[in-house]
Amino acid sequence: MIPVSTLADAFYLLAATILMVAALEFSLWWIWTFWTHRLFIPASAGVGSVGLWAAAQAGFLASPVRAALIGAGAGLLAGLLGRFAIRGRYRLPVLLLAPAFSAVSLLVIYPFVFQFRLAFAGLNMFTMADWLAGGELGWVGFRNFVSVFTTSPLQTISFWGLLGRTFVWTGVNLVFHVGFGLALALLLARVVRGRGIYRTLLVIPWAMPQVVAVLAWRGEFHPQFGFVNAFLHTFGIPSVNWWSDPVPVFISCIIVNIWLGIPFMMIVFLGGLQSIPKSYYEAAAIDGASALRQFREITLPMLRPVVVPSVTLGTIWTFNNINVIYLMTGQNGGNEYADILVSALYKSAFAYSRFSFSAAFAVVIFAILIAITLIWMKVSRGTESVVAR
Amino acid sequence: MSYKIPGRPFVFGMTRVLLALIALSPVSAFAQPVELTMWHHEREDIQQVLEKVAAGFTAANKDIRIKSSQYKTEDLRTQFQTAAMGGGGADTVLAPNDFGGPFAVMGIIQNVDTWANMGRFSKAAAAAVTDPRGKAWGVPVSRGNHLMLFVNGNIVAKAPATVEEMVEIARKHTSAKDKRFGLAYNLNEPFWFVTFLGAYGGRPLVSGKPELGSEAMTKALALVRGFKFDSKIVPPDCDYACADTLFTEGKAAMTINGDWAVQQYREKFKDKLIIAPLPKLAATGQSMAPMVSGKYLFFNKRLSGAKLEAAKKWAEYLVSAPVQELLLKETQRLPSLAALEGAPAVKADPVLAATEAALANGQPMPLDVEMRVVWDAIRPQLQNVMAGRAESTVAAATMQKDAEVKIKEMKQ
Repeated sequence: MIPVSTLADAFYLLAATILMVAALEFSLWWIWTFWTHRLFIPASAGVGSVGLWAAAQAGFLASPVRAALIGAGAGLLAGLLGRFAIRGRYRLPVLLLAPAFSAVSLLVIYPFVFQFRLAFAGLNMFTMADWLAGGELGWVGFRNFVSVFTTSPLQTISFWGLLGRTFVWTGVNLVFHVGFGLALALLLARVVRGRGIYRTLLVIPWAMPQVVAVLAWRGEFHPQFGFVNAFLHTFGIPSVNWWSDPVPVFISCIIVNIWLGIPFMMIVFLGGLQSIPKSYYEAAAIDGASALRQFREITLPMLRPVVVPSVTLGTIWTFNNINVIYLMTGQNGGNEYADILVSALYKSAFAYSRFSFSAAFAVVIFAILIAITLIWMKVSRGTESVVAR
Repeated sequence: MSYKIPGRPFVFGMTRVLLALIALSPVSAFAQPVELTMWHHEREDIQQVLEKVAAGFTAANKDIRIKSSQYKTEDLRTQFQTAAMGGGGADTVLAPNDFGGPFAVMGIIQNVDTWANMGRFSKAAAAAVTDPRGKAWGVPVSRGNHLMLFVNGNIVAKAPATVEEMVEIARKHTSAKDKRFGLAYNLNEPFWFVTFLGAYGGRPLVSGKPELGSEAMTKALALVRGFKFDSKIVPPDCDYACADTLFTEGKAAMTINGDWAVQQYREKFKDKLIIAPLPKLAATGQSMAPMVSGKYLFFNKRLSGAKLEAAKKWAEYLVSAPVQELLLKETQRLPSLAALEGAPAVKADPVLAATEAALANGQPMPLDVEMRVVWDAIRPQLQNVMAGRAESTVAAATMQKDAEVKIKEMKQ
């Protein structure tokens, strides 16, 4: 039987969601019906103001006056957009997309905008109680951004140290993911008998829950009883302190992430390889092109549309990969020898409760990722088609 | 190209659905009993005991149900913190006292001294959850959560009384070749390390200020370093799981672990399990001092009305004498009620009596939010010392500096 409060909450949530979607659909209907009317823009501001004021009166929002002002601003903006940008076009597609857009706004856009706002506030463990009691977030200007570059998000390592380590982490992982992924894909593309079995076996690291895989690896890196040191002993190499020496801790995390990341690249490249027509290779062979030349002149260019997005995704995922480091270094409160930007961000937010600092830190990381992606897209010409070149 | 906007039938249809939902919602809310959520970080076997207790509570209070959810320790803290900040989270949280400090400062739990009679609890249990202004932030459910010395009676006949004796015994039972050790414990974890600091009279945090650069700290670091590099009585790198496994498998003669492990070791070793207070350091005449707290029930700040009343009833039920005795029997944890200190059930059981004796030398776990920073300042330097990368004096000075900087940054 469903517990009472859960059922009541579900009804409440469903009703609130339907109300929100209805309000959005009404706004759109309003825009497309009256956008040519001479009083459309001021009337939109008025409707927005009354709408949010009523929502505040009904208890959905805190301050009726502020709600009315925000509603007027939003209505004015919607009016301007309706009159000068939308101009009565794309009715049905926008109406159909509106519910999904409202969900995305709630789940992605609002938190994203709030994070920017938080980055300029002074919210931490000590100011949280005042804020929760209805106080203001306040403004501290760029102080948090300055702190990001001048203080440690963790105990000792600086932002620049973390940034350097993150680049090493991302670079090394990507080289191995792409290198081994491509090599295995090329091998699998040639195998005819038992390809499915090989592919299944090679995909296991990717299919396995990451937590299980990483914790199993952590055990294998145990300095005393782990397989890795036992293996090294057979070559006469002394034990390595994989858990507590700074460099080995980081290397162990990289090894685990390489192991986890290869199958994804392999599957993507294999798909790309299988889509290259065999006739290209046959024609090249007739012309006397060597296997290396065929690879360089046919395989690589034809794979580029697959490689660019997968490398872009791989860069973002690896750059933002917190799981492996979090689990390998003993979770929250473990050592900081392998921490990269995002794991440090997590710890600064949830171990030290430096919320505004962490928001500023997240904005900086976001800017770095955007920059990397744009540069990579430009350099790789990944958005251009093969034929256009 | 033109599109048709949905007409009146659609709008009327949606309105009917909406009205039906609104009409149904309060009806179902009144028709059903109150459900109280409780998040905790207890093991599976303890969770089963809690569910049994909750079933008994519901039998006595038909209109209240307890729904408990288990988290890993750090997840419990961060999940509740995050959810409560957004106006959600569990109604109650069962956790050690040091969770209460940050929760109270952040304003996500409510003080209980306005309605809970704190005078009936053991003084130490009540003090561990009371702030300097005299506000109590949780209801004590059990005492302890402290470290003790566990000895495998099949290997060592009697628990050592001093640290020096412990080292000697451990040396006799260590064979690196056979991967057998005299002592195994969580080497790099500050919660274990501060027990040795206590033997030199040191405390990590005094009146909210870190005391890490002390002579006591230097000596304590040198002592634990010696376990690894001089007497070689401990596995070179050992965390909680490693120490627990070695001791359970009979490959470690002694271990340092908490009261949460009593039940498990008791089942494994039966009457061959010896539990003793952490030994005294003969050189100083002071005992090793474990951090002492216990488990406390915290109340979400947003609780009010019928739910708050239900939560109060649940707390009262948990600390009622029969339930406390049941918890003592089934979880081997000491009750929080002062009336049950040294109860016959504790005295009659050598293991429980030893658990209570081990509490005597403990130091209360500070409620201060700065404690988190102190733990994190100790950890990397302790690791450096245990890896042979830093001298004790340098490590002590560094951890003091790090803690001071971090506390300042945390308040910015």
